[in-house]
Amino acid sequence: MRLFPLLAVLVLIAPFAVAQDGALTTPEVTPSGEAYLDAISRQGIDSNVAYFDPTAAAPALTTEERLAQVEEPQREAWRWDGSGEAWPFGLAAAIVLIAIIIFFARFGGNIGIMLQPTSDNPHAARRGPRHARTNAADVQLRNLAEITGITDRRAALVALAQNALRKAVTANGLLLRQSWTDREALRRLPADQRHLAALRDLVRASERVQFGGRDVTEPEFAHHVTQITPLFRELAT
Amino acid sequence: MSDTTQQPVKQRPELLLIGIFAIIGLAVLLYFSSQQQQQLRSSASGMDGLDVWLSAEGHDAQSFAGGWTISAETLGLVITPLYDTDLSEARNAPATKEELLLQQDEYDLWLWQIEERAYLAQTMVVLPKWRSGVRLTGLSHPILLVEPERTQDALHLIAGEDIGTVGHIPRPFSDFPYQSPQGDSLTARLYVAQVFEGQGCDPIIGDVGEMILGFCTVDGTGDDILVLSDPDLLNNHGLRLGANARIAETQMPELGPVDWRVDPDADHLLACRFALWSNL
Repeated sequence: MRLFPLLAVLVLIAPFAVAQDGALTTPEVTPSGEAYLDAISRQGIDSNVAYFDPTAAAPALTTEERLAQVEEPQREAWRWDGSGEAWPFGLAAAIVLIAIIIFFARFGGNIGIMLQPTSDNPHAARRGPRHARTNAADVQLRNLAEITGITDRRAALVALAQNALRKAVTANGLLLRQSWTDREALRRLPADQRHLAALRDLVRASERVQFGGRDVTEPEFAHHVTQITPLFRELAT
Repeated sequence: MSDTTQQPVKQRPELLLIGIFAIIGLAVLLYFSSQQQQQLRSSASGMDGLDVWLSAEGHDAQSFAGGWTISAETLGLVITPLYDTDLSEARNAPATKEELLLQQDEYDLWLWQIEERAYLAQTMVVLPKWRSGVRLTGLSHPILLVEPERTQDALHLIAGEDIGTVGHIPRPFSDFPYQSPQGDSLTARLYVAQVFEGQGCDPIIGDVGEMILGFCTVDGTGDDILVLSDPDLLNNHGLRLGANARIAETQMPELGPVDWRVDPDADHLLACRFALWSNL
């Protein structure tokens, strides 16, 4: 601080200082120095300093061109090394990062599922990934006649259960999610849903076939068809 | 419909995005935090040149910007340049361009950091000499010297008041003789040399009364510490002068722990490492 007046004087005598170029002392280049300069060339290291005669007047510091490139002291003051002014930046960066993470964690999962083709849009289904369509009967067969036409009664029973369930769920205004198991879907149906008992029986039979590897007899299949037909008929209208 | 095996596949892109964003964020923070230091280290007053020079001469030298820990056992010598004359107080940031040019403290370093390094490994402290104006303008003149009393205060805090005063030799260049371990006579050349009295220190360059580099002890803890009073011996612009670069290259390996020097295993000798810590 106490050098301010001195600096002001220096600025005033700047033209004279420039005239005293003889005050510059140039050190001789030594083999050691040369080897060093070779080693640091193209490394982005600044080794250039002009040495002024210490007994002569100082050079005018503020008239130097290089100073124009110096960043403003205010920016220099905002450091990231833990000094007092740094914390707002760290805080802001942390908030942005946390917001991004929360956004993806909260909405990311839902977006992924919502983008899947819905069951009622067969065109979207065709555009959708093939692996999502594991069971052909799942989407393509829609009416009872088609399902009863399947000669493999096991596949027919599974198709019957899934179609019935889908119809019931959709009719209740729910979006059928692929992650739901049949039972989960069943659980989401309102308790006063008509044909719920028939649907539950059918889903259980379908599970026994699908996961238990059971066979389906013709009378058994006919029984389930008879039980579930009212649901199909009702929801078809 | 109940095709639960597909679910994890669908979740992955989101997790991946979160990971990528987090990594980008960290990288940006690290970049900005190292940027300020980088400016100083590669400037004329910095010491990145020593790292490059020692590496080019086949020594194992490394520059640390801090941010991670390193095993002290792998270090032969830790060089800690001080850009701070007040080791017990935070510095004041400059408000104007003039204040920036005449700034004496560039980075905060604390006494406990130096004591800890001296305790963990052979440490060399390099006292501050130049104000920010030298690296910002590329000019050097005694007007840009850090006040010797402030440098002296920092030295007293580290090595005790008995070590003596710090001062400058008001000549353009002063030569100091140095005998290399190989027996060569080399000359250290310094512009307006900054010397310390060095009472109670073993001189390596200079002598008691007018010392440049010496073996001293940390006040209080009694650990060995090397004190280099004039950073121009090793900094980016000073290595050009005289035989400074040659001295640095022959002397550094000698300053590491003695055990390493007398190790009969030749490979082990080459494994000596030198560290340049510009800041923690």
